[in-house]
Amino acid sequence: MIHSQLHSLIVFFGGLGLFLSSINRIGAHSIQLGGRRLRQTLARHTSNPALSPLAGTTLGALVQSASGVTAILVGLVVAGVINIPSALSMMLWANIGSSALVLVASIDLQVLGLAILGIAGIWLYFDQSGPEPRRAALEALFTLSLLLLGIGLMHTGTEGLSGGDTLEPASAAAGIASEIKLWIVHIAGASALLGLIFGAIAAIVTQSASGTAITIMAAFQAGLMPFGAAEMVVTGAVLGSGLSALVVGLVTRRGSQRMLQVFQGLTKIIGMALLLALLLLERALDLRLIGTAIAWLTTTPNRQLALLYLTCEASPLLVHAVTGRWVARALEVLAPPAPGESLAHPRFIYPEAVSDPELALLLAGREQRRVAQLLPGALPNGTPPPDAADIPPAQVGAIGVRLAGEIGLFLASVAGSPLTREQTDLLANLHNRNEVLRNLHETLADLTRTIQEARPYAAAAALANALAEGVGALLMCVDDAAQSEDPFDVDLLLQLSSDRGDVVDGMRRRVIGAEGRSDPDSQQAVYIMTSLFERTVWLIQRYANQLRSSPPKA
Amino acid sequence: MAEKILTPKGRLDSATAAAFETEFMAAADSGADRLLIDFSELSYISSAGLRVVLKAAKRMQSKGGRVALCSLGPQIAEVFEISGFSSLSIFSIHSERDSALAALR
Repeated sequence: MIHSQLHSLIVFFGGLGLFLSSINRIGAHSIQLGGRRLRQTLARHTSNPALSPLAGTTLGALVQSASGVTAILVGLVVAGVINIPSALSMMLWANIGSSALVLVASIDLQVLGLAILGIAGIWLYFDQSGPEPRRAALEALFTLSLLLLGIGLMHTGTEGLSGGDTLEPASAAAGIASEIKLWIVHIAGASALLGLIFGAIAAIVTQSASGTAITIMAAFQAGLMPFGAAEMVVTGAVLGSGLSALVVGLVTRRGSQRMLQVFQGLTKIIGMALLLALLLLERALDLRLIGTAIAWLTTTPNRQLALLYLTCEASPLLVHAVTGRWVARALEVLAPPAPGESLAHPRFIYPEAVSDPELALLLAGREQRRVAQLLPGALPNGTPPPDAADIPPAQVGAIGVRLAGEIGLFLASVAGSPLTREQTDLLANLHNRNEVLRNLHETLADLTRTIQEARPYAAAAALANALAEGVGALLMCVDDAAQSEDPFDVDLLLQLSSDRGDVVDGMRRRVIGAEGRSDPDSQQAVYIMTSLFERTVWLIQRYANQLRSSPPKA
Repeated sequence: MAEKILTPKGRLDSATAAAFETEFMAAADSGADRLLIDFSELSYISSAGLRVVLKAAKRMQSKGGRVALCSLGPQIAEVFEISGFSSLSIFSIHSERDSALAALR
């Protein structure tokens, strides 16, 4: 009897480990698997209001984490794929999607998990050199099977544990297990408030309300806590997820992330407050409310807990439907938009334009000129365009890299369309220019960092200042040539970006001589700074050459 | 043939570049086709200042005129060297005002 119960406890413990490690990995696999296609699909679905709930629910079911869903939606908003209202709507529906796993966990899926594990595992073994998308899909399936197996093992373990009313304390191990059981029952089951706090803390620590709910359902099945306490822990888990989102939102800098987190937190907390009030009223006054409705749908206690979880996750939708206007006003105060976010959105390119290559190349050229326009603002004391005036150089550079990345993906999509010879030449030229611009922004980010690191050393700091001003002027000329594509400006840029080997040697000798040989940190700063300067000039020359050899203005 | 000499003072940066631009535009509009920019009283030039100098040179060249620069201090000469402005053919750079004026004539 003792061995049997210890065995069940270990099975439960192993299943819990498998489940918790898989639930984190499954979201990452889903994101990796989705990539650009996922973003395009989401953009298409959210542009149709009727499909937005479906897209949100699917996203929640795939990612299984409110913070994971928020991270994806923030990325989509910042990239300009979806707008804020769509993101808020999808976030509400993603809560419902995240309940899918809890509903699945209320039925035994161990056999299904084993079957998928066998297929995916064997396929992965024999398909080691297969294409990356297929391997990513198989790995996602493999992780899903581990997750289902984990849930199945927790079921098996809890069935074994619930076989006896108590563990016999005849051995030390069984005694400890019995103590753990009593401790959990005591903490979570002592009162509704303690159960609620227990669930909230567990969800905050594990960053997964659904994971907490599934674990508690297994613990209830094992007889570790009464149904009423399990109800409170499940409710507390969703409340904890809302509290966590609100706190993260309020400590986040302004912008989409803060807005989405605060929205998630506010709607969940308000929804849970209302739901809790109804649950407690139902208990105190013996009314027929939520619990009665759930009991009418299913008589199986574990499924009742799963449906309660679904109700909790659906409550923010109801809150938003009733209080949407006030929540929007609260968001304006608590989470105003960040400067620079709109700057990071592509303003010209959009996925549907790919079907018209001539238009697509025109738009890509315009978008690329925006990336060039950001260059002078990516250096300290630079001259950014007016809409980037309040943004720090590092952020301007990051926006430049992000936009160039978007343009690169867009051009890759255009390459898949039938093109004329002129269009192919223009595409190749735009692609080369784009690579140079992206490299330039990355190099400038390194140069900016090195310039700041050189500040403590007098002679190196003077050189850093001169470099910032000199390179700043060069970047303005890049912008001028990119905007006009005038042959005179392009020739000027070619002259300005001539080889600087002698200049760099002279700078190194002068500064290192002034600082003396005793300061290796200063010497290193000067070498890195001047090397990055040489690379910047070389990239500018490559860009000028691309402008000179470009077909008529894109 | 008219000649104009501009002598910017102190700092030529984003705060003062607009005023200097107005000054050289007025000079260009007054009919001058030879412009000398004397840097002897300038202690600092930023990227915004360099851009205005280049703009002045482009403006004069578009009118068929010429630009010369002179008396660049060490900081200004270094920024010119780094930016590549010292290798541009759109203007000539001289150590003394007299040699610059002689080159313009």
